[in-house]
Amino acid sequence: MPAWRDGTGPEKPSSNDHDGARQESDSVPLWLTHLQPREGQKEISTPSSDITITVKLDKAGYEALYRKARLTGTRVTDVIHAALQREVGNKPHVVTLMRRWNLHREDLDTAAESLGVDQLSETEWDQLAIRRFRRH
Amino acid sequence: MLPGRVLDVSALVDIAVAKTEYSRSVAAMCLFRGGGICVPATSLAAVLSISPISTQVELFELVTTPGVKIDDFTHGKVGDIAEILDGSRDITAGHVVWCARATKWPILTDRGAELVQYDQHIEIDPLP
Repeated sequence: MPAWRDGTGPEKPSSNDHDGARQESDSVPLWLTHLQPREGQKEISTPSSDITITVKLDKAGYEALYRKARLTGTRVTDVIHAALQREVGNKPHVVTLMRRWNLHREDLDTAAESLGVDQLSETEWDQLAIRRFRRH
Repeated sequence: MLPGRVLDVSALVDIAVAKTEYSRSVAAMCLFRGGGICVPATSLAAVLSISPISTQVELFELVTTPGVKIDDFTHGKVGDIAEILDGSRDITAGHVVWCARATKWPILTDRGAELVQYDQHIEIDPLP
């Protein structure tokens, strides 16, 4: 039993004990951190109603979507939802991984070139908030 | 087309120990741009069997990231992989090539010349 409980020890730790909170946070594995509420973060509320938006696609784009839906036996809407989840929902996890690995920007630029994708923009790099200096 | 990579044993070792930052950068950038990473279970098992626990956690961080898929080594693939191997005994190589065929993604590896012998149509992303 902790000493503060039977009155022999120091005062009961306060709820805003930062060290305690940090230790608790450190004990959570990284792959579970996305399930933990963050400090000062409001709980995510489910939108009360769906929002409808109109997306204009060219014929090739629509046919590609339609083919994908046919291949996977789902609806076009489901393909769009999956793409949205992949693009938006996964990013926080990837950003966590990039920060953990503390990657250099020039290595990420080389990787982007190899993958044939856009390099990180200044805005994206600022959002990542890894280290800004370049390797010598 | 969304980017993607199949990770061979050497790429997973590179991710685990960060000998170079290339594999980590490619994996991270690929996922950041909405692409996918395929980790053949045979490659992962090979690396986990030789790497210390302190480095295994890096692999676990990778495989638990959305967009990363571990490809199981299942009974249904054995015939195809045996055909790829054509008498060779490197089951991991066969599985990696099978994954590259299935995903149409390049293989991140340091043994590109060896893997191309199994299938000349696969693409290789060589480790530096």
